[in-house]
Amino acid sequence: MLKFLNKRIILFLSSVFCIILLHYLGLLRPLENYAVAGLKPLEKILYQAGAGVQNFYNRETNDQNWEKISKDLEQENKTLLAENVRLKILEDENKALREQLSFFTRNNYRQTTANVLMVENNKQERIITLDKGADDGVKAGQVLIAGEGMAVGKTFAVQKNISFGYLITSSQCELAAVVLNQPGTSGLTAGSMGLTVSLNFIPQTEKIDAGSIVVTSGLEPGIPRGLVIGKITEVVKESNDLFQSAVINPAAELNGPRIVSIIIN
Amino acid sequence: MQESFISPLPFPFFYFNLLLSSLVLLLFFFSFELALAGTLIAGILLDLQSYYFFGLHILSLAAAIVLAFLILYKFFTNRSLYSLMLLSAIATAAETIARVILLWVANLFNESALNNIISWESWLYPIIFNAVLVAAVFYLVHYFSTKVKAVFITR
Repeated sequence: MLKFLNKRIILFLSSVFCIILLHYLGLLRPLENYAVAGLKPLEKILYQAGAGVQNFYNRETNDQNWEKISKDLEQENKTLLAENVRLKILEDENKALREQLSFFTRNNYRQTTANVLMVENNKQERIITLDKGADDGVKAGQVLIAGEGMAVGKTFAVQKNISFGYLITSSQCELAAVVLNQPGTSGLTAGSMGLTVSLNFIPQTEKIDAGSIVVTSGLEPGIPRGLVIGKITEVVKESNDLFQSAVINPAAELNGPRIVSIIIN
Repeated sequence: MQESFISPLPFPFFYFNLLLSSLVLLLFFFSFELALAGTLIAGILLDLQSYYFFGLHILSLAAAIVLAFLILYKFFTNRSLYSLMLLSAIATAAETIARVILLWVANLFNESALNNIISWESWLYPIIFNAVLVAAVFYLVHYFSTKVKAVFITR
């Protein structure tokens, strides 16, 4: 019996190693692409069902009245935030227009819309899988956008038909950012515990206030200036440190994102 | 189902490992061959969609199912609730250990690469959730069949 058992296990493990070998030799590529493409619609439906369950759970676990008030205020706040940022950027652009004739508007980007197929939660990271890949012009390091110009993350790995991105609350997701209306106050954002975002490496000499809005600085290639990251809720300043940091409350809804845009040019 | 439906669920439900529970149930109620076939198919599909190296999920699932089978074959009965729950817990722990070891090796023995994966929640919650699920399925089978015993097996 044991001999027969060993034969079955050896046969199984041999099959596994053969499959892995064939994968790395690229011989299974056409079959794999077909499987990935074929699974996309089902994954999309299942993901949306899972996200729906999460939204339902979140709604039911909160107090109904507070939930409604909070939801209304949040919506209003987001609209005002987006409007505010749009106006501030328009003002800056207006100034720049006087100096530069070859000005291009911020809406001139080429973008592609992607469905979120799945989200994976680790201790520090929240990783989303998107249904657009290298064939659609997606590359690693491109910014993911939701709603009215709100940064939700960044791509880090791309395959032929799918890509992977970190949400901004992941420690691996770093974005060059600036505090709005304070051009010198730039830093680098990084997620914390999959919950909040920190703005790090702000010089001690800069003055930042809670409530200020943080946007992308445009210093990274392919990532334009002015995408809203969030609002500063707390400033962490130690007198013996070289830099100060700030805690940011992300502007975008990061629970169960379903559709994101990727700026591909 | 595992990655698309379970993963977006709220904390701590996203730790629920439906796939591994299903494989343990296949092993317990049906056969080792069926569990191995399920492991192979599910592992390939998971690896195709994963940003980790190809083979991680197949190998970790295979390690869990082979170990579960050896324990079931040598020590446990396939008729008791406790053996099923214990088997589920062992398989879940084995899958996590195998995944951590493979990632540790793939990251050239760099422990910092594992910081995001090793946490007490990622060990405890899957074990609890999987044990509860297999227990629920066990009671369902017990309701419709006399093949299994809900509490202790009397000799």
